Amino acid sequence: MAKKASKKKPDAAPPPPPKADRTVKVVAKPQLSGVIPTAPKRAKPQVASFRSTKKPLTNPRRVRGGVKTKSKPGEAPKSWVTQRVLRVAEQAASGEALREGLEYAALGQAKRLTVEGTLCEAVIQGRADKPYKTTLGLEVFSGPEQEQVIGTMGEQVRYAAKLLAGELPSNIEDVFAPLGLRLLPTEVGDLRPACTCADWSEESPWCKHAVCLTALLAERLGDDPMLVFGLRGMPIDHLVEGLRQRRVAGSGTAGPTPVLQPHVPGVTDRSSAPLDQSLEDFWEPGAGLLELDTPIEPPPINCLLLRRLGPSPFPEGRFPLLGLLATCYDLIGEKAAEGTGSAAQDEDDGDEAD
Amino acid sequence: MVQATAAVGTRAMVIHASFTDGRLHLWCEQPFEPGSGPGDAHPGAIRPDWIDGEPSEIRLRLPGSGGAVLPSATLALEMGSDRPSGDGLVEVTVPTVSVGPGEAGTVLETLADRADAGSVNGVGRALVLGAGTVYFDAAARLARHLLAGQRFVPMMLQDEEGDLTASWWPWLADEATARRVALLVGSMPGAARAMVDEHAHDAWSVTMAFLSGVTDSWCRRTLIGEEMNDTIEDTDPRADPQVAWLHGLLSTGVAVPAPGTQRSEITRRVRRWIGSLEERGESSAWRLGFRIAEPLAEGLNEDIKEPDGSVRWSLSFFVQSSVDPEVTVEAADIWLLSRDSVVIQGLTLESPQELLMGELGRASRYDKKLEETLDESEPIEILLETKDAYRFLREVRPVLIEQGFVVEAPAWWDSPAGRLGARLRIESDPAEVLMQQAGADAGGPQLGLGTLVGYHWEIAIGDTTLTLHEFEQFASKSSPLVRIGGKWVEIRPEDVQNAIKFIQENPGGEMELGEAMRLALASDPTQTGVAVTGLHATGWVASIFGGGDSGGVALELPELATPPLFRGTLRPYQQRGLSWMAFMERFGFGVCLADDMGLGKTVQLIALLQHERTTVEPGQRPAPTLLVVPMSVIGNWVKETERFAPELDVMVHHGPERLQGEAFVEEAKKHDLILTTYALINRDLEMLEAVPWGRMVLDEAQFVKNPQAKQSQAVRAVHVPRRIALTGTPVENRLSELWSIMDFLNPGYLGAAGNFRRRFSVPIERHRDKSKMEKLRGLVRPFILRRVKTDPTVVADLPEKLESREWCPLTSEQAALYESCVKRMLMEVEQSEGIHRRGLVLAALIKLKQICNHPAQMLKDQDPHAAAVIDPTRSGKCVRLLEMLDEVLSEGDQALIFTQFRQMGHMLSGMLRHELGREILFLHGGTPQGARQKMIERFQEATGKNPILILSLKAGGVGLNLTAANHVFHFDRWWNPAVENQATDRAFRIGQTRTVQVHKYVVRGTLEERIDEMIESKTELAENIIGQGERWLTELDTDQLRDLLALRADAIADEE
Repeated sequence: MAKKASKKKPDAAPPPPPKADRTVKVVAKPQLSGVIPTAPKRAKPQVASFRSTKKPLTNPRRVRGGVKTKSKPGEAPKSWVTQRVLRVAEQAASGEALREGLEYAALGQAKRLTVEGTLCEAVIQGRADKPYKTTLGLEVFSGPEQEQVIGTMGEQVRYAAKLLAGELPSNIEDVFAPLGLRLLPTEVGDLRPACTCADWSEESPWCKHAVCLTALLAERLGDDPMLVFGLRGMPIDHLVEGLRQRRVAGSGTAGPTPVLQPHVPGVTDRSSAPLDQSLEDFWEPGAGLLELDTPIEPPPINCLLLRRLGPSPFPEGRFPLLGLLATCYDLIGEKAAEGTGSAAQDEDDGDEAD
Repeated sequence: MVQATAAVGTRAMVIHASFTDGRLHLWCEQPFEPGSGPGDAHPGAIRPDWIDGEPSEIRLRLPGSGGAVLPSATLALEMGSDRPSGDGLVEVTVPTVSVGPGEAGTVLETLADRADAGSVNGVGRALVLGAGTVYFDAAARLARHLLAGQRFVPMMLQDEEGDLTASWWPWLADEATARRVALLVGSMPGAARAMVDEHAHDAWSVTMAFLSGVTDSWCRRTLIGEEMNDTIEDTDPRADPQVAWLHGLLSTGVAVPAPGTQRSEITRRVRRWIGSLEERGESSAWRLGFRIAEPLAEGLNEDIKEPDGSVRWSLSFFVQSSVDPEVTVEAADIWLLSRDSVVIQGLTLESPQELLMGELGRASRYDKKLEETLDESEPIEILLETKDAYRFLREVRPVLIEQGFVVEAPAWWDSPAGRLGARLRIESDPAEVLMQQAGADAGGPQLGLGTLVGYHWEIAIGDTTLTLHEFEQFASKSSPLVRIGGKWVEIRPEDVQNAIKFIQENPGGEMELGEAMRLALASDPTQTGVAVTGLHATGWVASIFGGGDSGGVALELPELATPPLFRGTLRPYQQRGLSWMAFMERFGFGVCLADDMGLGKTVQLIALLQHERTTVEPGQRPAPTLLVVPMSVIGNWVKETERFAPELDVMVHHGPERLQGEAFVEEAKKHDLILTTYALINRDLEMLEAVPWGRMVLDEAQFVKNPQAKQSQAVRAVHVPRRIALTGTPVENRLSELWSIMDFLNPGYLGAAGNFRRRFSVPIERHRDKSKMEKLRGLVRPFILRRVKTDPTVVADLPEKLESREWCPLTSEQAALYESCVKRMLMEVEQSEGIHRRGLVLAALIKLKQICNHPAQMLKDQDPHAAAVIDPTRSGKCVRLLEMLDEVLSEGDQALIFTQFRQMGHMLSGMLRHELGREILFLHGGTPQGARQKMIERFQEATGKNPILILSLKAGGVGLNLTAANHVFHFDRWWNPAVENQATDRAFRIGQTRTVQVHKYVVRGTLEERIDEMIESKTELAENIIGQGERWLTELDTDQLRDLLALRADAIADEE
């Protein structure tokens, strides 16, 4: 035990502060980020809000109703998109600028944040009277590049299905990498900060305001990753329309579609041959049906899928959604295990009577 | 409607299925003339009004030729015609009955049952499932598998107006399910997506629509039946979006009454919630692993111990490569690595520390304990108390595994042997004691499955047995993980209560051995309340069923020598078969010898009869054996017993001249072996029952596969002390056959037919439930001995080529034709001379050969190119060919069939297509070179999709390499061994790795038999005449001809 404890705390990380002291995160963060690149993931649950921070290290003019990073207690690390974008600032900015920039973001020093089209701009209030105007520039894809991207994605149904459902697949960069492109800004060179403050210069553009804006952008992209297409000069409508046109004749129904269309490996990424090219085995089911086993058995543990789904998507709801769904899972599973019954049952009765 | 109903019973019809717009459409196809329908109506389609549903009509694109729709390949096979080759798709209209997704599963299951039942009755298939029907039936059983396994999610749908509806949705993205869905979708035939309407019909969207339709209606129906919507009755959907969603999920109306302003937020949340099921971590190349390790044994040495509070289990973390699971990095090492990227055994691991933390964060969503690790700067492991370790193993581990983590548990956790259960203990006398008694008394002690054996139940965990008292201690313990005998075991609280109750209710005593076997090997935990972990037997029960948990054939049989009178040599595996049958019989068990065709089941049984003779006093005769066979193999049995055991007295009981009543009974007692047929066993049942039989044997036991058939009931009715079944079909895979044969051998052992169907047939045959299959195998394995040609022990004993004759009978129609043909010929030749006489003789010889093949070949009563197929029951050879091909196909083998008549080849291919429901290849002199090459390729290709190739001998004689075949049938004969061997060598060539079995068909009592005898005798005369083909026959004088050609009495297969 003792040995392990010492191993876990290599450099003199501060001992856990008393719970009343809400400043712990601010203290801990820069230090930790020197050791581990993913400081935000270690978000301590007790850090409820920076608004209640009594003694911030920085001392800017406070902004009412500013844009700030959310930090919900007890919540798992932020989306992978947020993490990756934030890493750029962590790698590029100096320790001080990083610490202060992140604090600005948490305090809500940004008076305005605009992520629209290719523009990413914020008005950030520092210690001076006048706020600074900070922007982040991204490389924009050229027309031919955009066509290539759409073409590649259209060929792989799983990307298209995800994007059309408003999701950004976590392996999205697999589409861009072969084209020599990158979708998300994840390397230092991908973001070009500009700022009206005195610390900013062409040579060292990563002032604390740039860090602050990066943090805000990272989180905004985490919420709505599709915005990144706009930043790359490729409006999402244009992308979706392009994909729709290329999509293999999908469900084709005008009826309602599910809000999420999951990728089924080996299925949704393939398309069937046109019917008139299937004449050879038109009347013959494939041999796969002989291998298809469908044992009627309960899951390894009750309500496994529901457990995997985790907390209710409507945490504020007063109704016990999960409890009710658990009952539904049980009932449906049991009923299905009993069987359709009628056909088999009738015959059995005949047998016994014999 | 009346017309349709009548048609079901009388002629073949194919039932097809399509799915569109949420409904399954069914239609029937009957034989038709292409291009004969009015307008674009499908000329062969009729509406299956006998199915409960809504009459409807759909448009399909089906293969056609020259703009006219062709019969489906399924129907073509049924009619025995060639596969229709279309040149494109033709749009047609078909009348359908449509059923909703809720009923689709039941309707499809009923249709599948009905199609099965048709073929079991042996009257030809009245109803054949089309490819689409087969497909949707498979999809329906997948849907039920998903429902029973709770693999579905509540889903939200949105239409183009933005309105929301709720639906239960099958969850298909998990690995195991995706594998099944890929198998399904990849197997979709064109026929299942041939609809023409406003919807697109690619394989995936049709399948998804079907699966989701079935899932939603199933769930909804269950929930409505359980009145689940009462739980939300008093709530206001407008106040709470989740209540609105529930309204859509629990009731008949699917709408989610949420205000427009909330919609985008609701859909976003639901999407994210369900999408979390798909999260597989940031990196697809590396996964986070957890390893839970039991505490060190220190201080835990007592035999049974509940761990005290100080015991800690370690849950450590590591990162594992998805490419090579052998490559892992422990968390402790990760913190020492560079933060950017490292290469481990050639695999690049990017930002390892970030990966570890990120994935831990993701995992913490599913377990509070893991969340605590996020507080640490460099977590390596956490320590758990025993109760937390149990919870992690039982509840968290399955969740983490399905969410893409690796969770290693101690080996005992996943081992069923480590679980608590009840074990049946049976005590019996040592086998040797009983064997001695048996030897002294020829009747033998009649033990069998009806024997009462002493038994009691034990509570067992792994190898450890506990007393009730020891066990009751656990009831009070709080920890479900305890140490017993130095090992950790899981004891679920509910198991403890059930086991105590079970033991108290089943104190032990005596029960029938069969009942004990069923309980020990195939009990249903939902009925016993406790898992039955197996059998612990001593004495003879152990030597037959094995003393261990798995059952199985006892290994140490007393080995019998080849009986001294046996004229030949038994191969080692045949000697084992003999020993096994003798041993099992001693203990009163009925057994099934199910060796592959060609391995010599007949000689093993003959040897058994001879062995039996050595066990009785000199001058005495064992009680006679009744051997029931299909008509087609009587000749074989007679010939084989003559050859190997001429001293056995064999009596054939068949034909109109057969003995009746008392005369039969008296005569039977004077013989060793009485042969009769399945057809007669029911008719002569009364007098058969009057004979004091020593044993009854069923050859080709698959003949009793339909338990309801009269002959199946008759064989079970005859009282005999010993029963044996012989079959060459893999009986374990055909469950109705298995039940019927086992019920003959050991009555009642597998329970009533209906019960068996529910417990085994449906799960195994419909759902391919492997665990149920294993249970059933465990039950029947002791009673079935099956050696296959590929068994290493058998292969070593087999020659490269096995040649045998198949002695076929004539039907009475064939015999009458044969006799009149001989008579006319003899009359004519007497009045003619020279070339004219020769011509007459040759023409008659050809006619006689044709009659032996099939009456239709000589009578030309059926045009072989027409759709109608010949009736195999008119020819003894055809009947035998079908029986043997059934075995060939069930063993996955391939066969060449040689005939010297092209016309016969046509007839055979039509008949086999119809009877076997498979594409049959036919290569003859008129086959163009290109088609010939393609045919050979299709036959040789590894898929085994075209396992039968018919060749007319001349075409097959030269230059072909057909090593995919390991059976060669000579349907008719050239009477020239050189020509026949050349044909046989098509299969027996370089590249052939298996034993080739050559089956030469000879009709008994006809010129075929006489000439075959001459060839076999290898006399000088034979050498000379064979060299000249058939010309020598024309030189014979009339008396010689009469002698050669006259029909002998035993040729006829008259079964009336």
